[in-house]
Amino acid sequence: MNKNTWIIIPVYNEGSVIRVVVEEALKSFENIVCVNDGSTDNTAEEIKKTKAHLVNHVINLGQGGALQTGIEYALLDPRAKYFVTFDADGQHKLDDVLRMQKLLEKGDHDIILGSRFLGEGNNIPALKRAILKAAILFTTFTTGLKLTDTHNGLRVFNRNFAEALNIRLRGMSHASEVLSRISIGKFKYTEVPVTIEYTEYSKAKGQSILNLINILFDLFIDSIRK
Amino acid sequence: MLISYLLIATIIVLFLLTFSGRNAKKRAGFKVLTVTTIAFSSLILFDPELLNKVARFFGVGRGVDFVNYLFMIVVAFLLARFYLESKDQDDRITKIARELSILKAKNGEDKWK
Repeated sequence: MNKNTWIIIPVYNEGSVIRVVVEEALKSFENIVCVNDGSTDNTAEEIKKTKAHLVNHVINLGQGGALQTGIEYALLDPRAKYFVTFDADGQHKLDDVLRMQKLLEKGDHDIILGSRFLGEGNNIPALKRAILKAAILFTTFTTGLKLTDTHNGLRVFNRNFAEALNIRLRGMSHASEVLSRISIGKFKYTEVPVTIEYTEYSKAKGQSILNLINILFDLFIDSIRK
Repeated sequence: MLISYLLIATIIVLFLLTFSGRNAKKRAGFKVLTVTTIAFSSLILFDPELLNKVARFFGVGRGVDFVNYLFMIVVAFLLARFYLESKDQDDRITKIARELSILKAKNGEDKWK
């Protein structure tokens, strides 16, 4: 069992699936923290039925905020060496996490990023694909990083990177903020193919094109704030 | 026209004031700017002809138009500044909420001790 790895799962209204996702992850990892971001359903109750740590946000802070909370919580454990950001809706595969962690343990990189465009099984909805492509162009332009998937929630990174990360953008824009940190801190990174499971449930929760406008605006404002 | 140079200079100064960080000096600068803008605009009420003379010096026909041009630019930057300050406040609230959430969770469990 991976004692020095922490799985961080930001959760918002995933009461119908979170217990299954967490129980599955607990088969391979003993340190899991679920950050309940102000859910209004039975998410917290379902997490309490598992052996995962639960942090309840007193107010909704968005996925970025929940991730940062989870990372700071995990950093309190002095044994924590590796950190995994993992989606709560069952889209990510544990096999991919194990593979990414093995690669990280070799020590050649600070962060391993998952890419759905390198992997298989991509039944990515057409509109979502277009939005992601636009986001890739924007991120490449602003960070200089050459990536095929800039908004994949599956990442594995070491303690150095976890300590350097300070996600300020609370919503979905945080993904680009993680990449900015890689670029600014000159952290060593690589991408690996991962499989994202697009179920009807997860598709219904995806990002709308209007939210892309919010994300781009947040990124622009954050780039000029000091 | 002289008014173009004045407006461009105003935009540059305000852009630097707004987007180059927020500290006590810059906050004071914006307060002075706000009060000056209001005082200057109030000249219309007390001496419209003085304002007309200033406007004509800069190549603008009427004092009211001159004030309008400046006022629009200043207000736009003031709004931008207020927005940025609200984002700063957002950051502070997030920090407090996070600390509180983690503290409450830690009081409930210390699984790695």
